[in-house]
Amino acid sequence: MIDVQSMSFSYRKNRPVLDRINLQMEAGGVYGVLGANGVGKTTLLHLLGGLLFPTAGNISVDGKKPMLRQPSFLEQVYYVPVEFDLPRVTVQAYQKRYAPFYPHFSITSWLHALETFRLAADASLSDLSFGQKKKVILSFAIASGCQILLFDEPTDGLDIPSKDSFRRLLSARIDEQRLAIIATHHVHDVAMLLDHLIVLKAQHVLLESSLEQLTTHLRTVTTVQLPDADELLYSERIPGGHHCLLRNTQGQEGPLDLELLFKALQSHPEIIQNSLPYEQHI
Amino acid sequence: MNNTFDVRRFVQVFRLSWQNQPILPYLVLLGMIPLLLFFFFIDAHGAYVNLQSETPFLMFNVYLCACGWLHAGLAYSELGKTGGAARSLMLPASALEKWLAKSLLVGVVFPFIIWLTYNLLFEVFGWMSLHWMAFRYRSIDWGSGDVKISLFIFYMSLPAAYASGLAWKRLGVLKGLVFFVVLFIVLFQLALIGTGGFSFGMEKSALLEQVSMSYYDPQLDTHTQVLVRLFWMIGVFIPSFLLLLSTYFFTRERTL
Amino acid sequence: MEFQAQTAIWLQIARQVATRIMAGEWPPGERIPSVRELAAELQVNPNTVVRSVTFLQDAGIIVNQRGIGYFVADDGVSKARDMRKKAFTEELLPPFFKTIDELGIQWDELKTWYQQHQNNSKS
Repeated sequence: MIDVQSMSFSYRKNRPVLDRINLQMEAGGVYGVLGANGVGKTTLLHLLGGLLFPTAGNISVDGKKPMLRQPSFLEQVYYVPVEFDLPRVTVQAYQKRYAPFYPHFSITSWLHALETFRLAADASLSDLSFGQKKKVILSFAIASGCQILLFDEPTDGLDIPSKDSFRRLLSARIDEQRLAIIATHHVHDVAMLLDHLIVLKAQHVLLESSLEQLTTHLRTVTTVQLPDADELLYSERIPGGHHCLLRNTQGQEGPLDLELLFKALQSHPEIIQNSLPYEQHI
Repeated sequence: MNNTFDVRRFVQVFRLSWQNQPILPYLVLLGMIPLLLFFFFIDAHGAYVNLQSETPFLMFNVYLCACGWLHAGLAYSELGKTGGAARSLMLPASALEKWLAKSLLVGVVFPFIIWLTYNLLFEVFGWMSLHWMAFRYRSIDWGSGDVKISLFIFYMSLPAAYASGLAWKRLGVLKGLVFFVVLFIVLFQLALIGTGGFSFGMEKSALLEQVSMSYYDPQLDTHTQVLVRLFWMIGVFIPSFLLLLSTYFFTRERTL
Repeated sequence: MEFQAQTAIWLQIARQVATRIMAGEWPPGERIPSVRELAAELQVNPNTVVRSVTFLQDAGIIVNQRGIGYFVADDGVSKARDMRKKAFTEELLPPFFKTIDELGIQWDELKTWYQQHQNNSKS
């Protein structure tokens, strides 16, 4: 559904934010885009949404070029940015203004999402807190019926029950036709929703893999004593023992703490080369 | 699906653009003018000075240029912030539809509403003053040549304001105003080179005097008339039109 | 919900569903919630639940009736118990025995504790 071919982007000449990256994403998946601050997660979402134009290479989203911003493309893509400035209207008026542009918008899903988030339809957007505004936009995204949903830090500003609500709403909305991309550094908030992982580092895609692949090759355990050195890839001390990333040699999928994996990749990116089959590293 | 222009979609975009821009403050400000005139023209003895037809007309011109500029310059203010820009640029409609909707609003709908309201206000105030104070505003003569000139000035400067709002993310109208005023002064002075000096004094060149004052002069000979029209064409119409056109491409190619 | 990070998530979900079947939440012959419903309830990716459900189906605990959904098999409860038992003997017993050996605990001691535990549960 999304095909990115040796795409580069730079704000200034010779200082690429993303350098000749390749990515393939299929419908029916939830892709987590992880990376340290300033590594280009948001830029990638902007490029996929046609808000920035690649300086080289190609992006194809459902066979269309995002940078043309054709209506047939735009009505299938919804982007939830980190910051938004909303018109000074009520929640309901906002929906009435913008929903007609999305042919598959579901008023049932919208009302259900508002209810789940405990948002009042007659509340004025200008009176709402940042987190509540975010919930309005998330509700709209989930109800939009768009095939491609782009989330930038969707759980930022949400309280704990609202994070639950978001996960519940999104997981109920994922199907074979839809593709959700979540850029975040709050890995833990969305880990259970993901089935694919993309890790960006230093202008490149460090890792692109399905979680199924990852869990057959890697696993995490919490132990009192450090396990065998040849299995152990990375560990960190926790009260009462060690939180360890191990090579998975058990022949079945193990648990995998994505946050630990992410930390491991930040300090030891070579782990990937040593533990995964060739296709997983770019 | 037509990705360039679709009537139904255009109507939607137009409605949204209409809803997303405030008009009430402008109308309130407009309503102040007749009120102002009302009190301004009371003389010390409580009697009313006869209002010249030109005064309300002049006030209208000043208002239209100032507020029309402001309105045009603020038309793309949502592009200044990332969130607003993302929503606007990713709104499912073509660049042409979005641009056309905004341009129509700025160039046709807004002036029309202002004109209509102003007329209406004068009718009301006229009626009130006649019945209560035995005084009547003279109605505005919309058929005079002055109207053409003021509309001309308005529409020739509008693209500049419209483009300013796009070119600068913050305070576009203000920066645009400064930019174009400076540009105008520079061009004006340049046009005076060799014809009596760099001044705003009385020694204008014959050409400038002719082109500025005699566009509608029916007594000009054909040769001079062609020259005058040509000057306006190259000096004003074409740059203004190009500026307007550039705003379309600017929005189409706009990124965050 | 929070998952115990000892096995893959899909397997944890499968075990949780099996436990709920054993507890009689859905008696034999009854329809269990759809993949979408389960995913929303557990706040996980529906594809993960698909794997759990497929696993339960392969184990004969639930059966698929095309177009309608998944139903608890007639012998689903006993098969669920078998599955849990297998997991218990393979995953929980080895470290348990290891700890017993480490601490030098005798069988009689264990027996006493077990009886104590049972008495506590009854009262």
